[in-house]
Amino acid sequence: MDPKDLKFTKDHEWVSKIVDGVVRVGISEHAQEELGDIVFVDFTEPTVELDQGEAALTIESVKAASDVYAPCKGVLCKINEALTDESGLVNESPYGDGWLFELKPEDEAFYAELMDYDAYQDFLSE
Amino acid sequence: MSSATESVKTALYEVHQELGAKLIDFHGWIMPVQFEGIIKEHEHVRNSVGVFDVSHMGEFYLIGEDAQSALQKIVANNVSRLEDGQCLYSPLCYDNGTMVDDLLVYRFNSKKYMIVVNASNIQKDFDWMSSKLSGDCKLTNHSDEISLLAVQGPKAQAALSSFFNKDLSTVATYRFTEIKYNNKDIIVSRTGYTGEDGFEIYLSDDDAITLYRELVAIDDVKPIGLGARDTLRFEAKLPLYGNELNDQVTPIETGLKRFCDMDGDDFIGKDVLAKQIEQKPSKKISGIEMLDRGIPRTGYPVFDAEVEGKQIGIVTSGSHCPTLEKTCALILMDRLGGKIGKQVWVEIRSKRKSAKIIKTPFYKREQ
Repeated sequence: MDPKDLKFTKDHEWVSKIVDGVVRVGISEHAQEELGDIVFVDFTEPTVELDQGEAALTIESVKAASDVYAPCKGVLCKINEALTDESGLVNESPYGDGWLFELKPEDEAFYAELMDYDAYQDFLSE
Repeated sequence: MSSATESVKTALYEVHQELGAKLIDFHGWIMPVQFEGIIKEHEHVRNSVGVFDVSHMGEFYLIGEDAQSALQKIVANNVSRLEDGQCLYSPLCYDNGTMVDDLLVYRFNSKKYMIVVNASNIQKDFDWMSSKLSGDCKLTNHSDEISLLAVQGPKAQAALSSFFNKDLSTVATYRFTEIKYNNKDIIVSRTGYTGEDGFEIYLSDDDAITLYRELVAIDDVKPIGLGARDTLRFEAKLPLYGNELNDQVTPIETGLKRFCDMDGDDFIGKDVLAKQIEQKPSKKISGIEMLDRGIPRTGYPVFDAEVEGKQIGIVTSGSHCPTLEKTCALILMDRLGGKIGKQVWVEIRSKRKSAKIIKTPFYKREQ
C-alpha cells in the first residue's frame, strides 16, 4: 500500500481506508526502524472485541517487546497469519505484506481524527 | 565522566553517525546499538569479523611495589599466578561475597597492572578498590583517556595481523602485547565478549578514531553495535553485570566458581564463598529453550511445569538466538529447580509459555 493513502496514529500505527466496514492496521516505517529486527508477533486470536487503546498484539524485536494498540473500539476480526513464520515481513514491508490485523470499528467517526501521511511526517519531525 | 543529566559521547561518536548507527543512551553513554541490524551484525561476527566501540568500559592502572599483593587481596581469582603479558578474568566481591563487578586484570609486571571494569560500575569500583588497597601502590582511573575497540570473529586474527603487518597468531588466548600504531604503543589482547576468537585494543581517543575508520574500510570488517554484542555474549553464556551478576548474588551462585581461587591467599568475600561451596549454593544459572513461542525477558518468573505455583527461578537474560535460530534464556534458578530436559514454563505477559532446561552455553565455537 502507498503510505500516502494511509492514516496514522500517534503510536506510529497506520490505518487503511474503511472497506466494507473493516480497517487494516500495521506499524509505520519509522516504527519498524525503531524496533529493529522483529522476531515474533504475539497475536491476540480473533474474534475478540477491543477497546480503543487496548493492546491488539505484541511485537517482539531482538531488543524489546512492544504492544500495538487498537486505534478504535471494535472487533479484531483477522490477523496476518503469514507473520507466524515470517515476522521479518514487518521490517521488510511494513505497509504491505507486513500488515498486522484487521478491525471492524464500532463507530467509523474515529477515522477522521487520525493524521494523514503529511501530518504524520510533521509529527515525526516535532 | 558521566553525570546524571548529560550523556557522554565516546571519541567515535561522529564516526558512528557517519556510518548510520542507531545511537542510544547506555548507562549514560551515547553508544551505537546497531548499524545494519542486530541479526545481520550478529551473524557477521560469527562468520567473519566485526569491530565494536566499547570505549565506555573503564580502565584503571595499579602501580607500585606492592601492587601484586594488594590486588590479590581484593579480587577473587589468582593474580599471583599471572605472567607478564597475561590477562585474567575475575569476580570482585564485597565482604559478604556478593559481586561489586566482574573485571579483567592485565599484568605488565608485578608492579604494574591494568584493570578493566564495566562502564556502569567505574566510579563504584574505583571507590571500592581504592578503599581496600594496602601497601605501596596507587590506583588511578584512566577511563576518560583510553578508548577500547574489540575486533571479534573467526577472521579477526588474519585481518588484524595483515593490517598491523605483525603475526598476531603468536598472541595466545588471554595474553596481550604492545604494538606500535601511529608511532605509539597500543595494547592488543586476545580477549573478547562474543564467544568468538578476537582481540581487544586499548589506545588513545585520537588513535581509536583513525584505527576504527581504517578497520571498517577493510572488506571483511563491519562495525557492530551493542545490540549484537549482547546477543553474542548471551549465546556464549558470558555473564553480564546487571543481568546475571549483581550485588545480590555471589560468583558461586552464578557459575563463576572456577574464577575464584579458593586454595590460595585470602581475598575479600572468600570465607562466605567457601561456606557456600561447602553447603552447596542455593542458586545457580541455568539455561532454558522456549518450546512455545515467546521471548522470555529479564525479570520474568519461571515455574515448575509439574508442581502448580512453584516458582523455580527468574530470567536474567533472554533472547532470540540468531545463530541457533531458537529462543533461549539464562535463569537464576534454585539449585534443585530441575535438571536438563525438565519442562518448565515462563510467565510472559500473563501467559504460560512452555520451555525446557537445556545445556549451556547455548553456543560454543568449533575449536
